[in-house]
Amino acid sequence: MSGALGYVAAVNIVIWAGIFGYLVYLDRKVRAASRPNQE
Amino acid sequence: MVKSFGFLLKALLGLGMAAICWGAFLYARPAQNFVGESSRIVFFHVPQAWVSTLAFFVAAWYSWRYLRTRRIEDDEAASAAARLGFLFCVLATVTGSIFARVMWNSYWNWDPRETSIVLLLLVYGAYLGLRGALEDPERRATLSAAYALVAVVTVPFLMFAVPRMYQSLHPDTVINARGKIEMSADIRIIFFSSMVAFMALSYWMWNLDRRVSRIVRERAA
Repeated sequence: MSGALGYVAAVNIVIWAGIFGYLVYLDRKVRAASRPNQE
Repeated sequence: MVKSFGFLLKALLGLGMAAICWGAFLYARPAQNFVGESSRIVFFHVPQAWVSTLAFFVAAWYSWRYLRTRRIEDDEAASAAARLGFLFCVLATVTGSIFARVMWNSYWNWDPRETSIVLLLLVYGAYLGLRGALEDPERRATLSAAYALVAVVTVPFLMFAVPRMYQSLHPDTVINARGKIEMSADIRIIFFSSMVAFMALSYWMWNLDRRVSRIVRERAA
């Protein structure tokens, strides 16, 4: 059972890594886009 | 300084949520009186429902501010919060439905809790529909702010009152009828860490949405 749970945990971590990476990417893009307007 | 603090918080969230995913399945033991491993969904389902409720209240707060100040930034904040609340409400519905399948062998039972969350989705779906239907920004902001203030009245009723008023298949709420949190220490630590992580994640998403709205508005001007 712990093997199956380990697999589910790993899938969850991979999904979270994808969401997190995408949010970091968006954050950087938004920061870059708003920079000229702040000057 | 602020930038590095923000980076630190995001790094903490990234590692923290990964640790929660690990702990939810490999550290916490399954709770008693649940089929198989189904109780583990509590680490994701409850924080999603809680964040959704919070977001609807934030939407109402900024709607009220908009009606007082007429600052378009408040309307953008309200709209971002309502969208976020709707998203997390959908996620809570889906995870709840998966839990129902494991526990009661059916994805949907029209249990009071399930019915009330569908009504909540309809109420806020109508809010999003209203915003999409109006082109004039001022009229859209005013009408949707007024609607959000009416809609939020249903949130405590549908989220907290209805499920306690009727017999429900839904397991006890986190603070149960005796006013106590009955969780073992291993479940408690993962559960409350998950609550904090989901609130941080939703704040980040809300903040991003507001910043995008501001850029779009400034470029359109």
